[in-house]
Amino acid sequence: MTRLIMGRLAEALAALLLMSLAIFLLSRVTGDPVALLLGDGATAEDRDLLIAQLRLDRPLWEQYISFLGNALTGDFGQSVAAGRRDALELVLDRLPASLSLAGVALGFTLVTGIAMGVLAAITRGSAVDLLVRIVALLGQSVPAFWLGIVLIYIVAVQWGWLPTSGYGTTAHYILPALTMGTFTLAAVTRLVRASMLDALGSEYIKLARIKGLPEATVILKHALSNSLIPVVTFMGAFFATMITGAVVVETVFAWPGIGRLAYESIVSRDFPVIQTVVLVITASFILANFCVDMLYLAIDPRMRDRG
Amino acid sequence: MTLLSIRNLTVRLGRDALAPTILEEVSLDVMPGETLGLVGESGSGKSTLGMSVLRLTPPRLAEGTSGEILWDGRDILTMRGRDLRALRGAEISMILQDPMASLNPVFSIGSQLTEALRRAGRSDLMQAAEAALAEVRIPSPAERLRSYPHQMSGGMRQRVVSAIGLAQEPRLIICDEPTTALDATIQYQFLELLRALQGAHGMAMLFVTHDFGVVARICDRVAVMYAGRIVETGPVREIFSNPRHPYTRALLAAVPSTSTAPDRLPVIEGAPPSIGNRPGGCAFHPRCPMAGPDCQRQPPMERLAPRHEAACWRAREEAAA
Amino acid sequence: MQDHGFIRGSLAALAACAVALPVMAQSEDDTLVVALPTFSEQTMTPWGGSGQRKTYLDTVYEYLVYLDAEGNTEPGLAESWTVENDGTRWTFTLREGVPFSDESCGTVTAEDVKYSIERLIAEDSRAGPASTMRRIIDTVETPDERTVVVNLSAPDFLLDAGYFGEAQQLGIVCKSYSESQGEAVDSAPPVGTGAYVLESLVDGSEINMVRRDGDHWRVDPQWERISFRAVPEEATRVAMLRAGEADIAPVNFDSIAGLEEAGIRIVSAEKTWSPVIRLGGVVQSDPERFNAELPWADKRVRQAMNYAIDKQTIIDELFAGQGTVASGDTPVAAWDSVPPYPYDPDKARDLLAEAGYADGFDMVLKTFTTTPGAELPLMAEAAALYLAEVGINATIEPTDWPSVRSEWTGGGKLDFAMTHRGFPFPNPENGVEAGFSERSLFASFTSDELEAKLASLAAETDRAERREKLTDIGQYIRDEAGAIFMVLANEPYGVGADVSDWSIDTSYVYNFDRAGKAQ
Repeated sequence: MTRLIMGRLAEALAALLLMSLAIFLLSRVTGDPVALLLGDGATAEDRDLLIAQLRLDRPLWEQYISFLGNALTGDFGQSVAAGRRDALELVLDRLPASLSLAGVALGFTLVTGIAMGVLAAITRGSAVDLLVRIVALLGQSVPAFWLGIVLIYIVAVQWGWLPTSGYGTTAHYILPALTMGTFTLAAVTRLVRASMLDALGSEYIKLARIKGLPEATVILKHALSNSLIPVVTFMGAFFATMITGAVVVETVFAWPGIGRLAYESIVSRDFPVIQTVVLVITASFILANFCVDMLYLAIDPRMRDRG
Repeated sequence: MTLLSIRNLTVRLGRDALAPTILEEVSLDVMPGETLGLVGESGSGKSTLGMSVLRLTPPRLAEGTSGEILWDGRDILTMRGRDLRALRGAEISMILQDPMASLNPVFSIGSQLTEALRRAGRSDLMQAAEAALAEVRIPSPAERLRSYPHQMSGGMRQRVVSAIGLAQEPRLIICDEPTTALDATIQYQFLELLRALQGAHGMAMLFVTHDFGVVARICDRVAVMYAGRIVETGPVREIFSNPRHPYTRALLAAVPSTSTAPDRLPVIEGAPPSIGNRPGGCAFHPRCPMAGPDCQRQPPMERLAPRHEAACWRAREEAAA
Repeated sequence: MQDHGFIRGSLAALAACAVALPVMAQSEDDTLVVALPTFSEQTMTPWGGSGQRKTYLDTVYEYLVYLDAEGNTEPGLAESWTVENDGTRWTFTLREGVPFSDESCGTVTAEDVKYSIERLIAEDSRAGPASTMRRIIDTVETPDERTVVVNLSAPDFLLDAGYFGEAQQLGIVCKSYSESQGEAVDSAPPVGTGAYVLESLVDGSEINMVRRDGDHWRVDPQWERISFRAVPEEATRVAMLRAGEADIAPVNFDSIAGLEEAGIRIVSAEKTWSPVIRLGGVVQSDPERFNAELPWADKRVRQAMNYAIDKQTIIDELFAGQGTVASGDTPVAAWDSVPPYPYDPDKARDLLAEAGYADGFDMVLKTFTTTPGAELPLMAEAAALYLAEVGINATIEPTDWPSVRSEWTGGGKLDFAMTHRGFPFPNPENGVEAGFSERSLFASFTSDELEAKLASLAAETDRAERREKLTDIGQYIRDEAGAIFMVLANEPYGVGADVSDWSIDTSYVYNFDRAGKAQ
């Protein structure tokens, strides 16, 4: 166990280091913030002054080493655009909004997706099954942007049930979480349906029935516990889908999360913030995958003996 | 007085009356305490028969089931949810073929065993579970309760499955080829165990197998199935000494003198007909060395001796060459 | 064959999830909700970022000079002012007793104004006009508490309406408060003299202002609170207007019809921005940046491109008729008399033939979207269709504003054209310099003749003469076809029924503190 965790930690550090280099280089491919920060009518001298202020005149490797060195001490630099605010603080301020939205979306996705998958599997071939499968297919083909706008217009504008956008109350979570979760919901539903059908046809389900267990126990305990293993396997990927989807969802729903911050910092070429936001996202991926591994160990005893 | 009485059980692949049949007009009795062997090649419908008794056939087959399966005078085929659950495990239980697949991989042995014991109304669950494992001769049972299926060998797992099957003291246990997946020595030990358990619990056993060697070792009576029908029934000794159906004879001829290769199917000329492609009349006639023109008609079950019946127009003739 | 009670149970549970969710409260009665595309840098000092932040900062900070609907100056924190020494010495007399929102700051003094000016033009200032202001402002003196003297290094007769006016970024801050905050001042609660103070904020989401107690010297705010929301997606802003969640929000031209149908009125800021197609590589006076190989290095080709495009049709179709055909590349009042190029494709073909391009040529047209400016890519497509009619084959290359801006200001011989949006400068002379002076990195067209005209303008010490020279420059740029001039466009805002009167007369002046409240 300890060896497993130490191994993961080493992997995580390597991934973060690699990512920091990649993002450091990539963010510099399409120009720098200088042109954006310069007022109209600025001259070449103004530009040189700004470049020196931002220390962009130093060689790239030197900039990277100094960034890395500072980052190790927790100093990710100051935002170039947002009033010299501490980049890490800026990102950490926005992180809860994103994590809570992704968490709600993931929770909603798992609960609903598992319920729908189970329902479809146990009513296989029925109208309910067909309906669930159609919904799942649509869910995977609808673009999040479009879905978000449609939900806003129907639920918030036409019916007036929920706020169109913004952040603050529980009600604000519903539409963005729905939008963010739909693609994954469809994936979970299909995954659970397929693995439920596998499980329901298995010998151990027969044995559970032979014991005379109530159908609910057979399905929810014996079949579902096995069907969840593939869901857990994909959970890291689901989380990734959510965070990637966050840019679109947070923009449509005016959600103050890191997805939008990432987008905005890229638009304004705010290198320190881009670097910080990407590293924080990478770290949260690594953490999420670690949690998935732990969950995997908890749910599948066969894995415990393998590690 | 019969314990289980199957009457004219027909199982089709679906509701449609023209759908292919898996079982055709099967009638069979199991007496209290006896061990009835159900023998046939794969595809003969013997497993479906076992499953039908516990209503565990897949939905399509369940829809296409007709006839009666009487238990204590009540028809299992018309039972509803609660009665059916009261029957399963407690009255009739089953040991499945594949020990590697029939235990749930994510729950411990103890959890899966106590589930059955709890239904039997036991309060001292852990002790009862330990005792149940001890009874099937699993070493250090207390530790094994915490094990997971993947940590045990096939033979051990099959013992656990047996312990689960016996946990509620059923009056009938159906064994669906429980030894097929085990290697020879383990198989022998397991059969010995089953026989001992049956004796100790005084229950009846319906033993589904393709292996006459196993039948000889464990059964009192045997029913031979071919292509969804029972073609011959009788006491084991009589069937072995005086088989009347040409198929039974062929099966017996194919049994190796010792059970060195129990996994191998008996070798008979030709192949058994696939479901939906069964010949009219006696289904065996295309492979039968004694077939004649009258075999185009379905032979009735004919009583040859007090407990010996066969369905063959040539049942009273001696074997050809 | 299985018990279906479990299934029924599951269905019931699913249905229960769909049952009524908490019903939403409408936007509070006393709060004016303004949905903005962006908070930009979301910094709270005048010098901490771009002029886009004036949307919310102008409810807090005030200016020395205000402008009326016609653009005439009105006294602000400066009660009166004079200009002497041929436009190089300005003396402002401050209004007495205007209190800052923080009691420790007292009232506005000359020291506060001096500090505000010097801070805005400091080398680390991120304000848009900082660098150009830094060049012309020489010294700031405070002979007494109520007098501020500004000495310029070059004449500027429009300092009051321009850099020191409400359409620019010289918001007056409290010196003592600002200094006490040190480095953190950019994100500290702002202290100004405006009618509102910051109440709360959610980073990247909400900036909530609340009305100050007591009467205010300049405005009589009717809304207790103003809540600014950052809503980047236009469709969401439109939805907020329709759901009554937002009272005011900028919208795109193609949303106007739908909003009006839903009972939302449209208030347009007239001619506040100028969609244009800028031609690269014609900084003719700088050999480093002049690309003589280009077809449009020839003036006749540039003129032909202007004749070739039916701009009025583009205005009608893409800008919902909300604009007029432009004769320059930024809105400048002094250029109103300059006639735009008419649509004349035959003339365009003749000019191309004369220049030796009878068979046309290939070109790259880069485009991007901004706010406002969602229509720029469509405008590029439309322009390309018209250009194709006269044989010019324009390939559209979508890009983004930061990339193209880096490329444009990076120096070197550019070989492409780009869509652009010009904003008016409160002092048009500054705008002309930014776009057409060789010194400016952003220049898109220069010539030795134009440099001379600009020098002459800069040296002119007579106010009337200056205006005439500015008009002459506009005419020259138009005749030289310094760009493909397209549209002087309006900027439409959707305004909900709870707002009575509210209008925008000038770019970068939003008047949210003067929004009326319907009874």
